[in-house]
Amino acid sequence: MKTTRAQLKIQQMTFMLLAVTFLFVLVGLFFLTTSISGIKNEFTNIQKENAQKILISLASSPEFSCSSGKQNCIDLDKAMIMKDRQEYRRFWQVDKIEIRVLYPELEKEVECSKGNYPQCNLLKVYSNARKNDLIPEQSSFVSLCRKESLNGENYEKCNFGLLIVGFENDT
Amino acid sequence: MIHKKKGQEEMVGFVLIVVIVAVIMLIFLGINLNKPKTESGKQSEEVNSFLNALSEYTTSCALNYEPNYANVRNLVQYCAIEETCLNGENSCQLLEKELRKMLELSWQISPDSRVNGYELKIESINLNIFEGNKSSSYVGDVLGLPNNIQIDLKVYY
Repeated sequence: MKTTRAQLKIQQMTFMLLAVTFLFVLVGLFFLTTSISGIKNEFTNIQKENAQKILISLASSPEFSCSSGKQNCIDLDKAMIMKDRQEYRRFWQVDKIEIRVLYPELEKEVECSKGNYPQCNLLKVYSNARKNDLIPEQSSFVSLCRKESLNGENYEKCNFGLLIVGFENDT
Repeated sequence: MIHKKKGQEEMVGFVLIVVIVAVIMLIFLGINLNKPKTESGKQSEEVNSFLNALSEYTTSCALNYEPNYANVRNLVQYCAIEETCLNGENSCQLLEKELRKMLELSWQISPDSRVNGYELKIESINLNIFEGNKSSSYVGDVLGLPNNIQIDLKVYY
């Protein structure tokens, strides 16, 4: 009789230990998943941060920046000259550079060429066509300035737009 | 009597374990929830670049002669002193029109987009543009202009 009672106690103890262990495993799993998702988020954030840094350095590089020294400003005339310049393909370390004029808006998307500039709203400065489907994009608002002339006087006209950069997936 | 006491001790032990686990979980949960939302800070760089780019936009308003056109920065100042442009347009009405359009094109509010709403305020000239809905999660930035004028933008997600 006493043996059965002892066995019952041991059984109780085992169940109790199992339940407690299971509870701790569950809690551990919960924190593991949250911390893993945190690491993933951090990785994505670092990627975004790097992309933003590249965007800023690109916008302030002498090849694109406005002569007036304004922040977040791209000289559209310079960008037009940089379009499809093969020698810069490796220099930027990005797979795509696009400039999109948001405002004033045109009725439809018109890609810039020497024939229609500045009556266009999409300037494809550089694009690695082979990787086009793979690359995630990052963008930043910029002012897009160019020189215009009225009544024989030159002035700087600035539009509002986006600088879009595409990266390789492993950046 | 002894059996009852033992049973009570076991129950107390079990309750103690449950309480300890619950407390640990609450502490971790609290730490996780109190973490600063780093993404919000980074997203505000987007708002900052928006405000900077918007302020440089060349409008159709010139005060003295054409082509001495004002950008949004200047137009806010003109509006503060209630100036009228050479082409007869009211500087405040033009400013509101341009700002509304740029906001609408940049922060599109739709069920598919991440943006729920936005609010742009320039208190010194009583300009308030609000679209969509407000939510507790938002990012924002302030652009300071001369004469203590501030452009304050909040984007709600």
